[in-house]
Parts: sequence; C-alpha cells; structure tokens
Amino acid sequence: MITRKELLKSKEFWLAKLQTSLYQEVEMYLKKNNLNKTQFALQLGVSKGYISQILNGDFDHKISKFIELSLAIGKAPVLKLEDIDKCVLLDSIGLLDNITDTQINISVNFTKHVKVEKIEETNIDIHSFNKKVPSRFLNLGLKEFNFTDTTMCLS
Amino acid sequence: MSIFALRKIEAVKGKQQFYELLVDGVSNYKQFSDSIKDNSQYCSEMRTILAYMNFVAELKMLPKTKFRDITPAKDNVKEYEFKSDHLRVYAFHIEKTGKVVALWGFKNNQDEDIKKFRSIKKRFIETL
Repeated sequence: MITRKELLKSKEFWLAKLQTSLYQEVEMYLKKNNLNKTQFALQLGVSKGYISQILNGDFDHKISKFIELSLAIGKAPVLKLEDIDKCVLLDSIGLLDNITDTQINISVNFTKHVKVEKIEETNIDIHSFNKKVPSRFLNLGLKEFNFTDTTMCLS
Repeated sequence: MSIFALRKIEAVKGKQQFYELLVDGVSNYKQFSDSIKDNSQYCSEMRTILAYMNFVAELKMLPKTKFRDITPAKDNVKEYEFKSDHLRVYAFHIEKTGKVVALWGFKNNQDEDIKKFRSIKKRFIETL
C-alpha cells in the first residue's frame, strides 16, 4: 500500500493538486462573473472543449497555457519549487498547505517542541503550533536533515 | 455475520478522516493494491485517487468527473465514488467518524461493484 511519504513524492499527487486548484479557481471565476463555459471560451479565444477539460480537472497543457489561463481569471500563477523532503516534513506537522502562502521558520530544540514563527503575513496561529514533535518527524529530521546539537532552521 | 473494523488510511490526511473498511480482518484496499502492483498504469491511478481523497479530506471541491455523490434517493447515509480512467472507489460517510472506503474496483465492473459496495455498507450500518 502507498504510504503518505510515497504519495507526497509522486507526480500524481502534485499534478492532481495543480489541476484541482485550477479547477476551483476557474469555477469560482465563472460563478463570480456569471459566465458559462461558452462565454469563457470566447473570452479566452479557446474551444469550449478546452474549458471543459479544465473543469473536469484534466488540465495537462503547456506552461504558457497555464499562465495565460491564470491571468485570464485575474490570478498570478506563483510557482515555487520546494525541497520535497521539506514538504514531507512540513506535512507531518500539518503545515504543507502553508508552504506556498508564506515563508515558515521551523526550529527543533532539545525540549522536543516545534516552534513555528510567522515572518510574513499569514493566517497561522503561532501558539497553536507549539506542540510535541511526532516521533516520525524526529526520525525524519535526524535522518534526512542532520539536526545538530543546537537548533536547525528550515526556511 | 461479518466482523467489521475501520483503519485509518495513512496516505490521506485532512480535516476529515478517511478509513478503510476491514471485513473479517481482510482489507480490500490492500488486496486491490497487491493485485495491481505489477501494472504501472493502475498504480499511477491509485496514487491519483489517493490524492483526490486528500483534497476531499481537506474539504476542497473536486470535479464531478473525479468525485461524485452516488447516494440512492431516500438513503440518509451518503455514498461517494472516486474515479480515475480505469479505477473506481466506493465510500460512504459516517457522521462524527468520516469517510469509510469500502471497495476498490475497475470501471468495467462498476455495476457489480456498486451492488457489492451497497451490500457491505448495509451490513456495516446494521452493526452500528
């Protein structure tokens, strides 16, 4: 069976995530602007089938099309390439979805507590993340991030 | 009478819990996973469906072509179907518990699988 870590390291997870985000944004745009697929296709100068593909969560075209589409719905396609092990680590403490929204500092110390500090505008409640480190986090950290005796920061 | 158990699906995480249903100690998820392990296309689709489950667990919207409500009229236990090109996964929702994934199958066996899924669901609900 597929583990969480394997899933996060798979292309299928990230492709589906991107396709789903795009689907959600386009759906919201159509509702907000009271547009149907045909009208939106006309606005973009593409076929209705192309819009259907997006709304079916099957978008798998060129990056240029993705950018064009994002801009057409008033969104900037901010992409960020992150270290996959860092993503797995953040996921283990429930912060994966925040990775693209803000920059997060995580420090691990001898008291085995995780402290997350916001350094840019974000909706993270700092205090709610002062919690015990799950053992898998420590294992992963010690193995893959080479934590030192003092404090290691990931940012 | 079958013995049912719920086990969290480790690969799925979110605001809503996802469980696999074990019937008499047997995991359909594991059985199905083992049966497709040599087929890279099906393995890929299984990962895609697990990704969809994650989005549903995070209460995000999915297109109807990927995830749809298949609850029969007048049934108050919601039923759902996850879809990929060749695979279909059937789940139901238990209040205060989460989504229970009862059956993995193939598109070409959809009708039979839905019957089987509803039978499992009915037997499970009777034990509550």
